[in-house]
Amino acid sequence: MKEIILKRNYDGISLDPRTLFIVNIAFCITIFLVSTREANHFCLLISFLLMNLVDLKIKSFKFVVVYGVILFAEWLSGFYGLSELNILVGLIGYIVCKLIPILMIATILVNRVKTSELITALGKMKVPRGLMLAIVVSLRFVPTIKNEMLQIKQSMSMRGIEPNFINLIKKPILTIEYFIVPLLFRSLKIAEELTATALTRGVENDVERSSYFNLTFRKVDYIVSIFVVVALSSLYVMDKGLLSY
Amino acid sequence: MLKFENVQFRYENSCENSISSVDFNVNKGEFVVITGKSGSGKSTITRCINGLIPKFYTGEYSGNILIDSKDIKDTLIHEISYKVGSVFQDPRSQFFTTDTLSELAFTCENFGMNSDEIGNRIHESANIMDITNLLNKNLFELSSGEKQKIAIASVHTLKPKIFVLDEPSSNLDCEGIENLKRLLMILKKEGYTIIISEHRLYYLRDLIDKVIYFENGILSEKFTKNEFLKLNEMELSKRGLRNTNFSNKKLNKKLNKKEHENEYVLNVSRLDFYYDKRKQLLKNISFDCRKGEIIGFIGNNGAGKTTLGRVIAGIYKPKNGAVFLNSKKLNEKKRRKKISFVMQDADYQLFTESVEKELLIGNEKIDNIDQKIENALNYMDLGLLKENHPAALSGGQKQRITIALSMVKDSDLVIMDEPTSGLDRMNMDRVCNMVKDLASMGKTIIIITHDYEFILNSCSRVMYLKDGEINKDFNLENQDMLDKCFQDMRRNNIGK
Repeated sequence: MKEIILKRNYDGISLDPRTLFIVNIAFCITIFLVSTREANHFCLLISFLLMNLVDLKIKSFKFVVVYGVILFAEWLSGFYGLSELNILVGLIGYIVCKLIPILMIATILVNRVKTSELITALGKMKVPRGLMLAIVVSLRFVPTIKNEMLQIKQSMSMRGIEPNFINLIKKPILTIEYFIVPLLFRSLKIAEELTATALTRGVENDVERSSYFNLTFRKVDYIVSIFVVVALSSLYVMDKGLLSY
Repeated sequence: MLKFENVQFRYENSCENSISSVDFNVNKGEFVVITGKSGSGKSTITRCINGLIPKFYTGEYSGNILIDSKDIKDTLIHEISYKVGSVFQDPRSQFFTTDTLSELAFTCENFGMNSDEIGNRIHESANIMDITNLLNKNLFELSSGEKQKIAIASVHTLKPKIFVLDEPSSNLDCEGIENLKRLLMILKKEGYTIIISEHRLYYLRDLIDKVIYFENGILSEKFTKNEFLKLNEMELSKRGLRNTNFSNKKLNKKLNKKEHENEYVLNVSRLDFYYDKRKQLLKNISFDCRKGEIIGFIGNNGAGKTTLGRVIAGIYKPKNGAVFLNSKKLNEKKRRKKISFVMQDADYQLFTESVEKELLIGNEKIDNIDQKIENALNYMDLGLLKENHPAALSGGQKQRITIALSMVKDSDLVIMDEPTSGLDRMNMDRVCNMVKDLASMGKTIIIITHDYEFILNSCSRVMYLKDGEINKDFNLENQDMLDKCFQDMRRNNIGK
């Protein structure tokens, strides 16, 4: 019976969310400690492969394309001799490129991991319940907030104050204010309603939380985790090693 | 099963009691409806039952509430949830997870149930509620009605003895309400005690055992099923309640005969709209409206009525076709300036810190704007609230601000999206009058709605949309055609 219900609705391998956490944390550490472009490209490659492993092919290509566009823009801005522009684009590009592999792993988490599995994984990692709820609700809110923002934009366009290019140049602060005010009030309302629902679903219960999905670390998970950790560590070693020459 | 003894509650920061001296009891397996005008204390009662009052909604609380003969005063909310399952109004804010399976498992997991037992419960609930086809789906892809079903099912997995529902039909269309009714019938047959706070009473006719009527926080009347169903429209209206039964309604026959000779305000020609070519939301829509008409757009969710409203208003650009206002073909930007669109949720349309400023935004370039704002405020009874912050106003007042905008903009066409969703009798009548006043000023009003009563009381013409096409377009002269459309909407889901 459980098999029927657990049928996955996508082709591809299912990864334990803990693997994804390990990979993402490894990325974050690497990004802090190793500043070479090659390291970043390598992280991108890993993310790309993982996304394809879980059947998120189209999204994976979109991310790679964005990455490529930024690199191209950086290269271009070097030509015009405007060193300020080059620096500006280079800086923004640098930060965004660092974030892309992490965003890709987060995309896998949002699109391919069932929330219940996520909660179980967080529980096994001994994350305190309050933090766990905060993470879960934030994830669940991303699509909701996107929808809310869309409604607000439509409403603003009916009043002639939409956040388009012209308005953002002519009166930036006012336009942003008009956008944030309804968003804030809606978020407050949703937050209150959601909390009330949470309480009536037993979220404050002191009993240890059980889990419907049994998470086990499988071969795939071991392979991916060990490979990533080893690869990124060696990158670090090589990087520091080079510096000493 | 449930007993209220002299219960009284005042919300923090409020000067009056929300409910006072409430005494009633509910027997096992009964289906009790709690009703009354807006603000009469219905929601407060449901919150007392599930423990949100006084632990989440704080304030001054006195009296006793006994569930299964045990006083719940010192019982924690999650302990009460073991016996009381709660379902709220807005399907959008009742989920923690992103997929149906996790959602169904969520409640049981919180109570430490073992994995196999959870699997059994999910399977059982899914079969009883007929949602097996919704398992393993992304919650964001479901309709409101489907979301509401999942919400009820995820409470059902815990098998609480009492179900408490707070206006569950508010955000549902015809189809959704039919499904809700069926679900409630199943729950009643299974022996659950059900307490439901509602405005819309017609869908509960066959389910009611007892009706409790509140007025200003006081339990003023109790009815048995027969006593309640015997109340005629006038008696219901006096109590601020919506109709239980729609046959033989006296139609407002005062259709302005001159309308048929008025000039055309809106011409819509061959509109097509889609995000994805495989699923066309609007197919070759063409129609015309005259000045002063009040037209109701009806249809199930997904039939295209909201999309059509937004395309006409210039929020969306059609893939094909054109919209003419006063015989001039206008592009989206110009249409947005000339047409007013009143959204269902006023919170999306309030941007600033005073009511007066709110009417000013985007309209600074209109001549004589200050006078126009003054007139609009007075007309909508908002004169005294000029300096107030919009967020501090009631729902009805917020709605009046958004309608006042259409007066300030001098729009010839006003499109309203579900203006009466969740409103009681008195407020629905108020909206009816506002709409008729706007029409008598020479404006044309398009109302996107599934509120049967409201349509009968205000619309002069009805357009029924189905699968992206205009299925029927008729002047509202008697109930027959309208009934046929509503029957068709309800039938739509039985075939699925």
